[in-house]
Amino acid sequence: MSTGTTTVDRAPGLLAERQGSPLQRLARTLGTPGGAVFILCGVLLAAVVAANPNFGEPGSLIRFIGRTAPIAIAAMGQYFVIVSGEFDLSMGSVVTMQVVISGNLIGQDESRILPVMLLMVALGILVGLVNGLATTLLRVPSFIVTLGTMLALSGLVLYLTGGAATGNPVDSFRQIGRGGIRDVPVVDIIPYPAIILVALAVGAVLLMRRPYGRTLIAAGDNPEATHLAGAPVWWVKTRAFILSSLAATVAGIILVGYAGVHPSVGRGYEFTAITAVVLGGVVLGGGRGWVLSAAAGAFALELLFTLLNFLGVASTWRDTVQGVIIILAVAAAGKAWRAGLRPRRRDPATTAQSPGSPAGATTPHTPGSPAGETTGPTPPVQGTTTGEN
Amino acid sequence: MSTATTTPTRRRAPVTSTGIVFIVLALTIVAGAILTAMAGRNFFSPGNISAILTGTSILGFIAIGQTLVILAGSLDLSVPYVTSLTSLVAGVIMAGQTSNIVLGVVVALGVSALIGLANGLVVTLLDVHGFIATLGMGLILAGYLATNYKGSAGSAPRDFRLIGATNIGPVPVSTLIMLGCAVLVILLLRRTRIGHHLYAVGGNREVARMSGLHTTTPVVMAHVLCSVLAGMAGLLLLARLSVGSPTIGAQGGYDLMSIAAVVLGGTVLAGGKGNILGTLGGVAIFAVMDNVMGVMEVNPFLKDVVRGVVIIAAVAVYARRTAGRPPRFGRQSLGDAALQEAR
Amino acid sequence: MRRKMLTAPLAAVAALAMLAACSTDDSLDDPATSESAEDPAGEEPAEGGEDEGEEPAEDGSSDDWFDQAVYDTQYEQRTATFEGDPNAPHLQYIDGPMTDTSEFASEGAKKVCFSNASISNPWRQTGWITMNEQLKVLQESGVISEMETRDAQDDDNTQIADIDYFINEGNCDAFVISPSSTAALTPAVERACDTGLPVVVFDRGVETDCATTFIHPIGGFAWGIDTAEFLVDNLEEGDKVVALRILPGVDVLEHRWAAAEKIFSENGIEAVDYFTGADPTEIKKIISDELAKGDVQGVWMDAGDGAVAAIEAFEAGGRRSRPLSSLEAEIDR
Repeated sequence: MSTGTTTVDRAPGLLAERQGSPLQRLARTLGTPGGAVFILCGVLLAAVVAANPNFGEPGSLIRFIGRTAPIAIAAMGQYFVIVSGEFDLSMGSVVTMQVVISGNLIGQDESRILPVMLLMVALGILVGLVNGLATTLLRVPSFIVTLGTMLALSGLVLYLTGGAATGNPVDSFRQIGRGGIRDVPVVDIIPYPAIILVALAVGAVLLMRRPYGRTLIAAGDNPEATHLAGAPVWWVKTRAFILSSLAATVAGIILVGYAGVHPSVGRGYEFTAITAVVLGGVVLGGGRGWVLSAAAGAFALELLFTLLNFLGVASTWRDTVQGVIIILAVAAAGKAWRAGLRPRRRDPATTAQSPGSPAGATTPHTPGSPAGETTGPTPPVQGTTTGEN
Repeated sequence: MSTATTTPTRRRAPVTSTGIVFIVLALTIVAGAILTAMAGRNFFSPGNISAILTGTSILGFIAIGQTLVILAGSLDLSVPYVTSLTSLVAGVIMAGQTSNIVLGVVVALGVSALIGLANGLVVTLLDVHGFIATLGMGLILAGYLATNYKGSAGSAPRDFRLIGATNIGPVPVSTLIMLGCAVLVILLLRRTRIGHHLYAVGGNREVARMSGLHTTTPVVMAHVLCSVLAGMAGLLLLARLSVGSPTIGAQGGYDLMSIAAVVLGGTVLAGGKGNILGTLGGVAIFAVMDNVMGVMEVNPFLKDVVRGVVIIAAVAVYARRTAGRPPRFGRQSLGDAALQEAR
Repeated sequence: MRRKMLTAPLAAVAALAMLAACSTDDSLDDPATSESAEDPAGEEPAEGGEDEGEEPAEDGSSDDWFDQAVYDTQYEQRTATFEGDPNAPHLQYIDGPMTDTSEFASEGAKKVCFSNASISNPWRQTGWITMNEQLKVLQESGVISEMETRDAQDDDNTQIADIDYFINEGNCDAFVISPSSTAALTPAVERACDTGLPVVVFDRGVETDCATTFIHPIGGFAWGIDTAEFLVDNLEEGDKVVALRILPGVDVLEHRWAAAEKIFSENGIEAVDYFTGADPTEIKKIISDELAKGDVQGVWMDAGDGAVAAIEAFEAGGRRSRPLSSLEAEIDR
């Protein structure tokens, strides 16, 4: 379509995305990996309910959403980092750190809840800042930086607490993860974690539609072009790491409430979160994927485990099934991105002749314009369209 | 697309990191000798040198393999499980009989080669990111191990256990075998066509393909060799433990530690740049650090803190030295999704 | 069968003398041929005593953890009376044979080398703290000059290296070893024995009786029997129990489950087991899912530190709480 029509202005991909009736657009969206995960969730949910009809009751479902909230929140946090082309392996350690801190510092004293939560947020920001700055300014690969912070943080927390995390925080603090709005018709209870999840999901979607989100995807898709377009890539990515650590902090606060204090809470969370993000069709290496798909990936994963459980599969086989699923999902997603998106992928190539393209990147232009704000460089456009499908 | 504009300029970055690795290693040894002396010990005593070298051998095998995979632009997170599986397979086949040693070794290495082949094919043919392909393979093996092996199994005959317990002077035989493998891999990388292709494909798969290289073969080979070397580590662990163990690989945390050692050795995580010598230096740095912290009786939790900080700090030093912006893992500048996912 | 050892608080070990000798690198005698400190009698034994409670039968490998003979022994030991001074309960023990350790007698403060598997769980933390307090007492009384500790961080291979390091470089007068796993550490413990120095093994066992002293708890089977019988007493035939296990492949934990599983099946109780990694989040999810499937009458756990999460899952599910059986709980609220 874009071959001959030079009169079509600069974002034919965007237009293609907007063509057709809402139904057609929905169908097209569900055909992409980011959309297919929602179908996967639906299929798994149906299978789970078929295996155990009790699970389909509204009360059970809302509880399931509540208990999946922390991993879904962590997955959304991890999404920001992955879509910017990086990794955050320190997430699990941050969760453990926050869990242990709340157990040790809040204790049975209600008046400490607020100051300690502020401390936890501050520590979350600090960890993200360290990860981000070491990755962007010191130029250490994020895989290595966050591996280092993972080791250092968990070691430090265990050392400072003597290795045995004890003490349960006061009940009113744990209500965040345990409680909910009671006596609601139909569902009986709406767990607070579910409410937090919805709030954060809305916030994340809004953030990704703002210039920051578009610049972030651009930075993951093509850091050079984004840099040359005038966006501070280092700061954009650093903020992604901070968002990831903050998501881990929220997950930690919920988990303390949900299950209590134990040094094993949070173990392996980084790989679960990455798995969820990847199941959501987000491409490792950055530049592609939708934030809600990451959360949906977390639900798909938990539904899968629940299904295996209800089917009576021995719990030792769970890892194997998970391994097969993620390989297949990523292989299928890769095929889908390449096949389904081929027309759109050609667009940037065509627009490469236009000023905002990677080709144009060799001659830096529009230095004054805030990069994320405009649709200037093509990668943001491309990212945006994938981001919203 | 953007390939033409961005990548070629990067390839000119000076490759000096191996030199830095050995400077860091020398500094570590000096600091270690001083700290050991302060603890009233002799760092250079035969027993201590033997202990350090023993500490290098198992991580060494795995890190050599990991270097190949990383050079090819992939990753291998399944190594701990391959290690555990081979120790069990070989141990069960040997069942304490000297006559079964050869069979046990052959079957165990065959199994690991098959796993590596599967990894390589998933990465190349299905175009799955190496991180995910091998994370998935690791999970598959972990489930198999947990379901089928309840605790240690099999038994290594005495002759086989000698491999893990014999020293020539202060040098353990296991370390010599590891160094032998390192020499073979160095020759492979420097002297053979496929070795050169490995660098080319890891550096830029698209350019390598357009230059007429068969891009699949080097990547698959790297994965197969990596798994086989992880299998060798499993065999050595079998010799040292005398039994196969389903958790021995995970206990050592060899997946992440081997990647850390490779990067500590100056190899670029995005692939295409680095060498085995640097990796051996990285492994040695870890071994010396662990030895010194052991002598100083550092709290085990603090050991992890030190390891974490050293990893970040050392790699930051290399990154400073490398001119320009070094390619990052999974960087998107090539603008080609197929290429992205393959890395 | 192995002749077994006794038990001495590691304290006493230091009072023993050393015989010197440096081991060569390749001392890898097979268990059968390893000749070592065959010393009878000695010190104050602690709870435990008889034999390989922990070890599976043949060469450390066993796909089936159940061992009827050991089960029977431990069944009896549960009701055995303690020997030793009731005023010093930490020195009491159950019918372990005594070993003569007089050959190690010596004067002066000695150096102890302690190879620890890890301090990665609260039980081990507590033991480590207690040990250091006891060390202070023994140092003040001039029995121990110093204790050098190496921590293997739960890695068998590291612990083997640690023991070899002690043998070659430690200038040790006695070894104290808490093995991280049963079969894998056997060769290294044998090498320590070959030095002729006194060797104390405690907690998990090894497959050699070369050690001077072996201190171990009654064992996993007794634990499983007690906890499962509690549930059987409180439940009826046909009831369902959810068994929450930490991880597979650790002998003590496998024995606990093997005994409990046997008792549940003998009494017609349906039991489903899960691995939790001791993660309370997992525990709570598992119980919630089980409650969604149908009613659960009891919960069995192979260690108690996730008990609160399990109980809370019943509360959250709106069910009345159920009998929950576990020991060594660290419930702090």
